[in-house]
Amino acid sequence: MVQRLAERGPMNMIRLSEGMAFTRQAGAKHVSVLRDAGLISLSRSGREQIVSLDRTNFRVAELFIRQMEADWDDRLGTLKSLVEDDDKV
Amino acid sequence: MKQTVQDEIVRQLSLNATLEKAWKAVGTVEGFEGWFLCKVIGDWTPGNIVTLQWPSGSTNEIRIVTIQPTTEFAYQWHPGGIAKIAEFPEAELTTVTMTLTPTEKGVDLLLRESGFSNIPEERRLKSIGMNTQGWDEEIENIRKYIEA
Repeated sequence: MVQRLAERGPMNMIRLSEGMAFTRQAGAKHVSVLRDAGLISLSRSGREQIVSLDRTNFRVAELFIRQMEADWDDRLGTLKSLVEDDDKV
Repeated sequence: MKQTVQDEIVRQLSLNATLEKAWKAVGTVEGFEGWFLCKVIGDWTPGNIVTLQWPSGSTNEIRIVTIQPTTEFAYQWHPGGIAKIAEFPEAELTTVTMTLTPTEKGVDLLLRESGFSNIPEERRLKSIGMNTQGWDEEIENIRKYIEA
């Protein structure tokens, strides 16, 4: 379910449960568990309930960019010491 | 409110060095290899794709965009992994631009990498050592815990 949301973005319950090996009740339960765990959010569009991976997406994006920033900080630290050490020689 | 994904990394660094030394480090093969900790294979010319080889033997590619001596060096790549340029869509490349500006004390280096918001979720997950499979397992564990 989470994989489907990650790959295809927000969708309604019917599309989300398509082809999944569980009953409608089990699907609804799964969704409520995920919502309680703070991994998905639910919104309403007309009569449809839309499920999205909102918070998870955001956390992943943030973790990713922090990792990229840490990589740059490492590289730039090396650059600075190389350039400045060189200068003292 | 919709949360937006950060698109850019910006870093500013003051270097106590001459402009020539700073440029050598940023925009030439010998200099770049020194702080990027890799070996550059290929022709270091704008428009070309060169290979970066890491000590582990793994490689990835960058496409040189600009080499404007003592002022600007820019390249594109798929960050956070070991990917060839053609491995993912062009629209998912990030652009890294390093700009040098002389100051009274030395040189300011401005580093800007932009385009992060175009990287798909799946690649972000892989890059931070997770994948959607992992998430599904994680969620299954949460479910078991909650339902127990």
